[in-house]
Amino acid sequence: MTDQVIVQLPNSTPRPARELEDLERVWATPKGWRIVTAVNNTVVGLIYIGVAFLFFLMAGVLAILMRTQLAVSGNDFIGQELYNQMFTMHGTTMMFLFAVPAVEALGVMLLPQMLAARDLPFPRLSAYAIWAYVIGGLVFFTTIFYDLAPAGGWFMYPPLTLKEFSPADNADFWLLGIGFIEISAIAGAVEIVVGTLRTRPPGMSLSKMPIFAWSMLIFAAMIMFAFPAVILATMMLEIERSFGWPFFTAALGGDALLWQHLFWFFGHPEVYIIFLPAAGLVSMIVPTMAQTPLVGYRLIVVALIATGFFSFGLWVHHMFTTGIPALSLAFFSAASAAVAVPSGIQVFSWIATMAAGRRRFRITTASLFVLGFLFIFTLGGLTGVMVAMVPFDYQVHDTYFVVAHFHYVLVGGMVFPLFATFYHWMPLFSRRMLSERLGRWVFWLMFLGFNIAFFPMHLTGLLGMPRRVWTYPAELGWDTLNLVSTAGSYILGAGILLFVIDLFRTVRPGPKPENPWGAGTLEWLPSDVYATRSIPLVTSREPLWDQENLVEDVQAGRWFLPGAPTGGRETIVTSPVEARPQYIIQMPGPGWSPLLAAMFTAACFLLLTVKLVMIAAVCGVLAIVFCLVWTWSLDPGPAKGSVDIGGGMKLPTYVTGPTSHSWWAMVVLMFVAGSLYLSYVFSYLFLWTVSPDVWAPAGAPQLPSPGWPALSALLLVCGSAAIMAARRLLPSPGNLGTAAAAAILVALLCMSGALAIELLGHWRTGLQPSDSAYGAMVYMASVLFGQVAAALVIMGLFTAARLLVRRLDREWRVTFDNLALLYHYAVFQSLFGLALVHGYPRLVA
Amino acid sequence: MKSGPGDTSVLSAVAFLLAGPVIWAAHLLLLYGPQSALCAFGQSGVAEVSGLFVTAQVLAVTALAAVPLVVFLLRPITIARLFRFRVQDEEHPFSMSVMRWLSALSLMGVLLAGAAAFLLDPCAQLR
Ligand code: HEM
Ligand SMILES: [Cu+2]
Repeated sequence: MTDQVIVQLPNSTPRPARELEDLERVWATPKGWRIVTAVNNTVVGLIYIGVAFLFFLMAGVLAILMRTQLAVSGNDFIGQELYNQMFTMHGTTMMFLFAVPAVEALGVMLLPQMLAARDLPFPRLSAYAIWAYVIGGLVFFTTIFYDLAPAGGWFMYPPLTLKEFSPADNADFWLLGIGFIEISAIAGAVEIVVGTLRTRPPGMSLSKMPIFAWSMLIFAAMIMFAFPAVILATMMLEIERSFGWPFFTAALGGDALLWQHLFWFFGHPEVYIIFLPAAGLVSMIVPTMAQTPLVGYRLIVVALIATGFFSFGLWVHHMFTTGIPALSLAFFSAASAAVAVPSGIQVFSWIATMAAGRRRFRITTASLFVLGFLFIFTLGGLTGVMVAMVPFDYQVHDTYFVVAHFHYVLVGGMVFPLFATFYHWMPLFSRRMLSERLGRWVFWLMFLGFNIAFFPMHLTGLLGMPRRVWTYPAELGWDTLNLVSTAGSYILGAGILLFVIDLFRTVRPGPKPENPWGAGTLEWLPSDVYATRSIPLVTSREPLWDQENLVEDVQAGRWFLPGAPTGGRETIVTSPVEARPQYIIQMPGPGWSPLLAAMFTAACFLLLTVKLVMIAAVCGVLAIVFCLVWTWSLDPGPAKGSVDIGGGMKLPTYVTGPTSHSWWAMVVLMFVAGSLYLSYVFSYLFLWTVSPDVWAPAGAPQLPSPGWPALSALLLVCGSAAIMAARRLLPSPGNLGTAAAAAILVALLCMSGALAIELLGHWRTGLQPSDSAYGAMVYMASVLFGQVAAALVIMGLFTAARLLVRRLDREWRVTFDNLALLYHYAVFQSLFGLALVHGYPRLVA
Repeated sequence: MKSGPGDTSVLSAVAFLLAGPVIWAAHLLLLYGPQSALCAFGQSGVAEVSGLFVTAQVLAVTALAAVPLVVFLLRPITIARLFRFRVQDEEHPFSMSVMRWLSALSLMGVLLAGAAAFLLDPCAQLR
């Protein structure tokens, strides 16, 4: 942006009539059944949240059935095996198919509106992630109806889940089903990181960002680092189940505790992944209801970041009773106590805001749910500090005390804020609001029902009732408390049912009523399919309270980008810290390819589960084909030049290199790949400390001679050089890039060659992956190497093809830049892997 | 809207704001990694490991982590310059206070975890 102070509005009125027509045409939602091709956040976001809520209801039904079974002692309403499947599906569905997707859906729906962006930067990626989740998740859930559901608990500990003890396909459904839900969560995280950092309105610097956006940014960053650990774990367990690589089998040098480490390195942050966005929503509702800015905005940002960080240092508190040295436990016990501090900071900020209001804190259904959240979550936090103390945990581990604790934090910390959100933000999506009168009933039924259901579980837990038991004998004296719990769960269920009835009765999609709660943030600006008519300059944290005439000026198109100057979908991209306008991003519109790609992705994973390998492979190929079809049109090139967004500001419509959003997405993906790899390095070293006796050179065949890894490394370096050569060989605009394409092919050959040599070298020594944990780890390095190599081959051929049809040149080059980034990353990772696999055993021998 | 001498790079911002928590994470890693590996070796008889050494290791790493955290708390401007983090206007007090608070919380985490070494036997198992 130029060196000037804007004293007047950038665009004058009246605006040409054509402008509004353009916006409406460009952003129109596909009609009729073609709605499934829509990619706009308001449409796919609704589908997303709707399906997530459906999973909540279905998992809730399972919960009610379980509570019915437990109502009286010696009950045989549900048998043991089905009960096992039910708690596994309930937990898994709640955590993976409801909680994370629901908050991600809220991000997709609310973020663009809070940031006055026309859409998030990768609409088709969102659509893909959502459809993969919808299709895959629904099929996964149905396994409960034909006795195919996993039964190993939501954390699926081996050895119980190894082939030996769970021979049927049930566990595979969990491993593969969750596998691609993880992929979909990561796709969402890419969208949210880039969205919050780059599509804010001009002027909305980091210190003016709505707290919900902060919390979603941290949410997405946490997904980037937490999910890879469980992805690796599920890969290894599935490989062990299918091919017998003994990662988790103690007799061959594996260790079941490795699973626990990896699972909880994901699993603990997971609960904060769920809680932080919910806390962010609360931080938006409280100031609105108090009609005063949030007290301690800075401290809340601090608390969100600190929680995000500390939550990665707690995982071992789930493993207190596994025989780890007491001092190690103390480190994690300390971190578990430390993480309570930032949560406490937030609670005090909210209370202070309520007290600071100019008027009395307004009691609506949403604010009731916020108060209920404060009460329940604080209790859950207190029991959390209790179980963070090692001696206490020894007493209550795996009892109903823990079940009570985590439902207090999960239902209190996530479900109550979610309902508050429904009541508070419904006016953005529906012509009619949810009933406040019924809302009181919904709240009190849910609040009382919840406490009646879960408070007694603390006591049954202290009385010694273990979790995950399908029934119990009468002599133990647990009957009354369990009956009370069950009655409470029915009351809770009644509250939720009432909500659903009201939802169907009143909610009608359509233009929103204007700002009914008098909120201060941008999502309450008048908007339509194209979001707001124009995009304002933001100078305050609560622009609607502080900036005069904002609503009228935005609506009249006096602010930035009042039309669709490139003739397609677009929004402003701003700089990450200060939010200065940088360029206009051109975004794709509706299309079939994300939906089809998602269908085939889901099909591929599900068919693999039932061992229909050939058809699964075909589906996998089709999924890739549709991904390529969709990405083919993604890089629009510089043809549109610069456009005027008002106030004499001309912005380019195409940028390449480190400022471009696709570069950012690639970097995010590299972080994901990097943390997956670090999890692998951890696993390698962990298994070595557990069983150094199966390691080469003493316990396994000699390593291949150093010439082998040296040759691999040489090929990798040559590959990098070839990519750098390709960069120089990129043709000038409009020319054929045969030379660059050839260089890319050379690079791909180098990469594949390096992988082949690495595999061949080990194979020739006689080492087999199923021999020992060492063998499994050695070949696992190549599996990870092969994974990036495969991705690179596809991307490389795609890039080469574009070069050959004149869709890639020195200026039109985002596709190439992405390939180069990933390639150099892959070389770095693989060199590191070679050093580890070949160097480490020699070093310690 | 004023525009300054260029936009702050997100790398500088991340490095500056998260300096404290990063030290905390490194501390936990250097505490837990060596301690559990050393104890594992002692147990499996791969090497002779003295308990005193483990305790000393924990305390040394803790002291080492506490120093930069205290510096972050006292001299945030110096650290900002180190990471080439420059922002103006309201951004400035905001970033400084976020960074200092995060360092303070990290310091608390570091000291809490390290203090355990005074109280507990370095390798005793609870089973
Ligand atoms: C709607 C009200 C809910 C009720 C009545 C309920 C009830 C139950 C019951 C009866 C169990 C099984 C206890 C056992 O046999 O060990 C359970 C387990 C569990 N629930 Fe809930 N629950 C509810 C909501 C939720 C929510 C919202 C979440 C997460 C966001 C959740 C997450 C879990 C998890 C992770 C488990 C552990 C599963 C396992 O042991 O593998 N629940 N719940
Ligand atoms: Cu935890």
